[in-house]
Amino acid sequence: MWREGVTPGNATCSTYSNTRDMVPAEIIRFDELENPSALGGGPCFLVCWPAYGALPAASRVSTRSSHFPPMPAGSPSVGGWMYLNLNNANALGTYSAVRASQNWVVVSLFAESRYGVDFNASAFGNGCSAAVLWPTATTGTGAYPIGPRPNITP
Amino acid sequence: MRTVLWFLMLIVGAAVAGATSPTTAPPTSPATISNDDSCDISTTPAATLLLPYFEVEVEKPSGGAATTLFTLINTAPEQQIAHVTLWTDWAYPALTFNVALTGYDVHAINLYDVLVNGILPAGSSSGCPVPAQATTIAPAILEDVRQALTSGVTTHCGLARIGATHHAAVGFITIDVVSACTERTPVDPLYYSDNILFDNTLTGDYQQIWPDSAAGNFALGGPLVHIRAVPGGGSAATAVTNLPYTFYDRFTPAGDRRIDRRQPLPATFAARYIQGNSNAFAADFKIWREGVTPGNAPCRTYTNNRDMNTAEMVRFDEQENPSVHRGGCPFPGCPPPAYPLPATVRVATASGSFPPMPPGSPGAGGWMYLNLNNTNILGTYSTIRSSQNWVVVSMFAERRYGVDFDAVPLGNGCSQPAPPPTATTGRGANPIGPLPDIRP
Repeated sequence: MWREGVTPGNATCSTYSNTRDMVPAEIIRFDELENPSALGGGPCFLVCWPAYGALPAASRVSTRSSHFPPMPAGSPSVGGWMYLNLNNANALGTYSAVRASQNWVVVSLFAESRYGVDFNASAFGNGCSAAVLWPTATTGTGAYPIGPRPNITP
Repeated sequence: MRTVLWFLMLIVGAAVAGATSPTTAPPTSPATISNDDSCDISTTPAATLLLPYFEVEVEKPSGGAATTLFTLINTAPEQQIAHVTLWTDWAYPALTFNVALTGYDVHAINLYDVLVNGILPAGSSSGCPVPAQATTIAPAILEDVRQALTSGVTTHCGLARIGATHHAAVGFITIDVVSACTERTPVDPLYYSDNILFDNTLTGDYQQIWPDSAAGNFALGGPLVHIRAVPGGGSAATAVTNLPYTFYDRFTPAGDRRIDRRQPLPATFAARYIQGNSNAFAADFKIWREGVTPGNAPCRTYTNNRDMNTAEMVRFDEQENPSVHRGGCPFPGCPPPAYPLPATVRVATASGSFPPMPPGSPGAGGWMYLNLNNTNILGTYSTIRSSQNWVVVSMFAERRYGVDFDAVPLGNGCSQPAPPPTATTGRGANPIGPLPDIRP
């Protein structure tokens, strides 16, 4: 995953840790039977927000790691797909406009310690799409269904 | 007062100019203010997915057979029906089946299971309602499909050939969102008025597995080609596209040639290669090409999809030396020979289908300029345009490393045809480079 940082130009060295601790907006895991899974444990105010682990500007993370929601309980599947809203919420306010942060995701699949392929994840919108609202309807606490964004190009 | 006088002079001047100058020619590119009208192909949820090339060794046991897998994902909460069509390498539709995708559903399909064991995944059927368990293809039909994809013959076509002969099943796949489960194929014009839908919700990827350690032991993979409907959503009657022509152009009904609203694909590409060297570097191009046979064409016409001309190919080595096909012509003004390629093929870059390395070149790599326009010899396209194509680069080394990636298009499906020959041949004056980005 590549993620846009939050440190501005000519930033002091001490601020680069902000680009280490960028929390993604929302991640949902679907198994092959369309069962959703989301992380819990975050702060609650009217609704409870999930607690996602911070991800830096570039990282390679196993889909089994705790950065992602677990497989749905009792799921017989070994595969599925994930919805990733990696907006970092621009914690330092360094962007020129109110917008989602920029990101890119490459999927690496492996098998039998001898096969491996890379391919880009499918983007649900483009850099001009309006920021996605969350939490989504699939978590049971939100009202914003997951789906492709309207295609908006300037 | 001076301002008023200048304003009057401007009006009179404009009127005189309008009365005496010739009529202005209309702009060459259609005008639109819709932000969705893009011919650029990107990996975003789409209404049609294209697997440009598949290969399955149907004669080998499962543990050692090369196979191709692909995965379909419905990224929206509403149910979709994905209509899967397997085509031969001469673009004959050999098999079609439907995959019902509930909201956020994902289906992985191993073509070895389909073509050898006759197993369609749960949720697949030629007709509705959709079964919850995996279904099977009748043995006689399965054998006929295998023959079509390996020997190029089918009982539907008698002695007429609809594909080449190869030891593996070879072809390409299209996947469309549709309104109902039918056995209609995209060559039927009624498919577009009655069945096809326009919801840009599908995404998917493919993997090609080579498990034989003697011949090669690696996996290749990438995203499917995502072809969006523009505009998306609704039924065939609810919207009209601003695209100048569409992906299914040659099959669409005569009165509504852009009814499918699918983005067209480009004709020119930049594709990297590497071959030779002590590390056994090798590269193949997997090339998908738009055929020329129209909808509901007689079987005997599918040979036209076998020998489709290519407009131009130029090979550059790592020192920028160009190389083109000579074709044995001794005169400097000879046009380059048109090396034919079928509707889908995997070709080694070291083969005679491409220009040779420049004489004396010390390098093992470089890139190729590919203008794959087939010049539409049957005149079946709705407009004068380049034909559509897609190129995937496969690179290998030491029989254990392999990667796939899409070649870079030098324009999009709405670009004007690139005029050959190019300046690099010494005979032309059209430099190679990216084509202007033209939106419909």
